[in-house]
Amino acid sequence: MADEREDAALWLEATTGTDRSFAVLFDRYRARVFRKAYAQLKSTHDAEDVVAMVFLEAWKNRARVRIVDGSMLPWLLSITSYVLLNHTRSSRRWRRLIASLPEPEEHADHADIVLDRLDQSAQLRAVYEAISALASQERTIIDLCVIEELPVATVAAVLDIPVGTVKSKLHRARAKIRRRIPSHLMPGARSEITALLDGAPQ
Amino acid sequence: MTPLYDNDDMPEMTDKRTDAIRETLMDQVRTENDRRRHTLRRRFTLWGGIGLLVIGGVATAATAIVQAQRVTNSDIVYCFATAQRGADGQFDYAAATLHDPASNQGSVSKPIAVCQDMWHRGALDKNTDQLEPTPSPHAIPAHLQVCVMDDGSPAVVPGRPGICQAIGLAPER
Repeated sequence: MADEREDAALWLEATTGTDRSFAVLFDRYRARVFRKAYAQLKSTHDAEDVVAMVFLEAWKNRARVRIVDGSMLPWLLSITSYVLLNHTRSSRRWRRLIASLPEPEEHADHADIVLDRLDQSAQLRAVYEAISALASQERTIIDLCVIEELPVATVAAVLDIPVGTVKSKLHRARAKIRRRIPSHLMPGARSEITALLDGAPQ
Repeated sequence: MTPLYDNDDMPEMTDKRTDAIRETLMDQVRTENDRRRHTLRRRFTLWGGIGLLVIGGVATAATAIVQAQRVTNSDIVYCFATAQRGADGQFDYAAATLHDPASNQGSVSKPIAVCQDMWHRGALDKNTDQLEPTPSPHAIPAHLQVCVMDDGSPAVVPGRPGICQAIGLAPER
């Protein structure tokens, strides 16, 4: 039976020594974190490692937790964004624990096949590449606002900065990304991504 | 709130690694809390030990400073005018001795009596006119204590018992 307790209550229990509560939070959000990681890494094994690193980073930074509207998800997504953008550093930090996880089962990773089927995936990859050239905070803001489609107010709460700052940085980051994405990936017809990059209302 | 990248074709996490990650995280929470308790205990022990050492050191130093001593030099007595140091950090005092015809040296066997006499004569009152032909008697403090100077000579200080330690001198044993 799913644990119905709120994130804040579970987190409080976890930080005071109840390891089971941390496991409940892990099971509640691991799939979402995994899918975000997988979309970018296109490898089940690597995405699973990222899931482990995200929750280890969350535990390490537990004093700075941000629960927005009763949910830890926006904060976990911001950590996921950080881990993905600093993959090498995070892998080094948690190397010993990651190495202790069992080896992945041998199976064909069909990510490329699936993603290549979608025009949108090419656009997404181009967006990810353009994002990687942005400044750290701009990268996180564009990731959370554009890719994750979180409300600006939520992102401001997670990053602990004013809403106006998020809006202005988002505006600048959008402009930079649009300049960096090849024109053939941004067709005239408005796709979902181009609409978001153009600042469609959230 | 479904992100753009999400689609039904995405694989799931494998059960084996999911269980391993969950176990690793729970282990991390457990060991972290154990480590924190251990750190707190160690910190408490360390600072407790340091605190005890400091208290012991201060007590030892205080005992060394204020430990009662015997008067070993009776050649002279220092009669303190007050128990407070002056602006120059020195005590205001008058020294006195009595001639001992037997040894032909100064000798003070009753320091309080000598200083009471000094007080009575006004020797410790700055306002006393030392050239006055018939000096009027001056008040003698109700409480005088014998302390011991570094050289073993007595110092008579106005004040209640404990005044010697308060001004950093050893009380007379």
